Amino acid sequence: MTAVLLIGWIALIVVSYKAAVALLIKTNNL
Amino acid sequence: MGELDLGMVNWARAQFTLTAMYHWLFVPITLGLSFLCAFFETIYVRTGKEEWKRLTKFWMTLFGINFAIGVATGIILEFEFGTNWSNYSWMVGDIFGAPLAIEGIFAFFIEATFFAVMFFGWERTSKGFHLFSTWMVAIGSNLSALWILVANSWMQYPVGMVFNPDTARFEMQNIWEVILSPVAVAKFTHTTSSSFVVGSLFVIAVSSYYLLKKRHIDMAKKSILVASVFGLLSGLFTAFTGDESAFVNASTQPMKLAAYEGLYKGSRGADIVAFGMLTPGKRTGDGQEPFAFEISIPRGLALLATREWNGFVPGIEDLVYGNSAEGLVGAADMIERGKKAIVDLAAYKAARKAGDDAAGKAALERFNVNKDYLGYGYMTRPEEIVPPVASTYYSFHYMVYVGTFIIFLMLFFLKAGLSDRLAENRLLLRLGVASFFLAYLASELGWVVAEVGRQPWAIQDMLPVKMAATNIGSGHVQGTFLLFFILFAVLLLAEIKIMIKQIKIGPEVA
Repeated sequence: MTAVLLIGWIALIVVSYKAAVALLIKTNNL
Repeated sequence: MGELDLGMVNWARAQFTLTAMYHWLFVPITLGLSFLCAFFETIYVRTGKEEWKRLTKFWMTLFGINFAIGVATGIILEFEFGTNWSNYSWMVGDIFGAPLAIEGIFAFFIEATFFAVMFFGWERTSKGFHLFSTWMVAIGSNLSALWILVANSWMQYPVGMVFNPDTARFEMQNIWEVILSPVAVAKFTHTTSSSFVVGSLFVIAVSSYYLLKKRHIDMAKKSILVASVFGLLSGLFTAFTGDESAFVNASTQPMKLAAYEGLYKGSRGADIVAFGMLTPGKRTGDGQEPFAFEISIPRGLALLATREWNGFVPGIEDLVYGNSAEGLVGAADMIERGKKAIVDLAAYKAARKAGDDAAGKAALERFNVNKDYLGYGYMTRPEEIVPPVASTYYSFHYMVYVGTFIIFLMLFFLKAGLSDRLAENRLLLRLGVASFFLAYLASELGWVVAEVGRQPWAIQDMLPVKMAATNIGSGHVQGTFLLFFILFAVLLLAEIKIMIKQIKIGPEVA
């Protein structure tokens, strides 16, 4: 579970950034 | 080690509470907003659009105002370990001091160095290096949190050390056990991700204020879109890590779990109370029903604490009075063994002083039989091991309710942002402003659950708070408490005034 939590934490930051950029592009807000 | 003046202990507690909760006004925004600033600046560097640079610099300005006081109050906290908790520092300084020192010389130096570049390097460094600096501030801030949370986790679940009877100190044996303990990993991921939610809500609240005032509309919409994605994903991750934290509590701090769930009588397949009001005046072992009213989810607590439908979850009274059917020893037995350990440790020291090796060896052998219960020897009655149940229970439930509400709020903001209906949904915008304060309180109360739920221990099962304080008169602490209170109030008012002024100015000239 230690690995799941720590990898999940890093993934949270990376995925948040990528998802935000994708939605900015989708809504023509970039 | 004689018992200390309880007045002094409680004043030292009050001072630490004041300083810690004040410090925590600034930390969540630092942890969350630093990553959002890194996101914004990355978008600026990738697109080259000036509007993203303006937006980044605006949020960085608010980040800087918040950061300055956060640092100052954190330093005061560390000094209190020496001034007010010197017995604690003496007994566990070898272990507790290590992560605090690493935080200072490693993580905080990263933050402080790159913070200067982030603020003053816009025209002096390349775009790439400036962006790198902003990311390093975010990573450094969160690494700072990691080391502090490792230290706190060790208080909740002391591992990786051994007690030295010659010095009456605990000594580090394995730092990796301390850093990677299940409590430390769950606490770090839960605390930081919940702070990402608070940081995201800060951006949403300020942006909602602009949309309500019909100012900086484009910048506010962009900010809300990024913050609601980060806030939603962080909120979901916070729920996941919160569940893991409770599961870890079940094995490492069953009394804390029982307190925040309001569970007095343990059982197999225990229910979880979703909504409930504790019976006012309820005391451990008084026979009163724990709840005045409750709505429970069948077997919910068994599933949460043991991952089994029919798992046994001990209640407060099982832990205090024992439960032979489930193999639980009561606190009275542990107190008795603890008192023997104290006597044998004193005998060992006396024999060593007298140069009587044979008596010393015999005393040490007797001590080693009961050494795990040493902390219990300072307790006077079994019920003393119960933390304040009501404040732990209500703090926990408020945190869970608000955390769940925020996830839905983020969804609504994301939906409104995607359909470009943010500006017209004034109810949602007002909720966005108000919810920031709800989330702030939830974040503070999370620490109430962690720290009040650990009482009466400074270090779980090893060192009671009443034995951890400095042996001085309470007047010394009262004076500095009053001084800090006035200083903090003035600083907070100044910070809020500067923050509001900067928000009113907005991003153009920031």
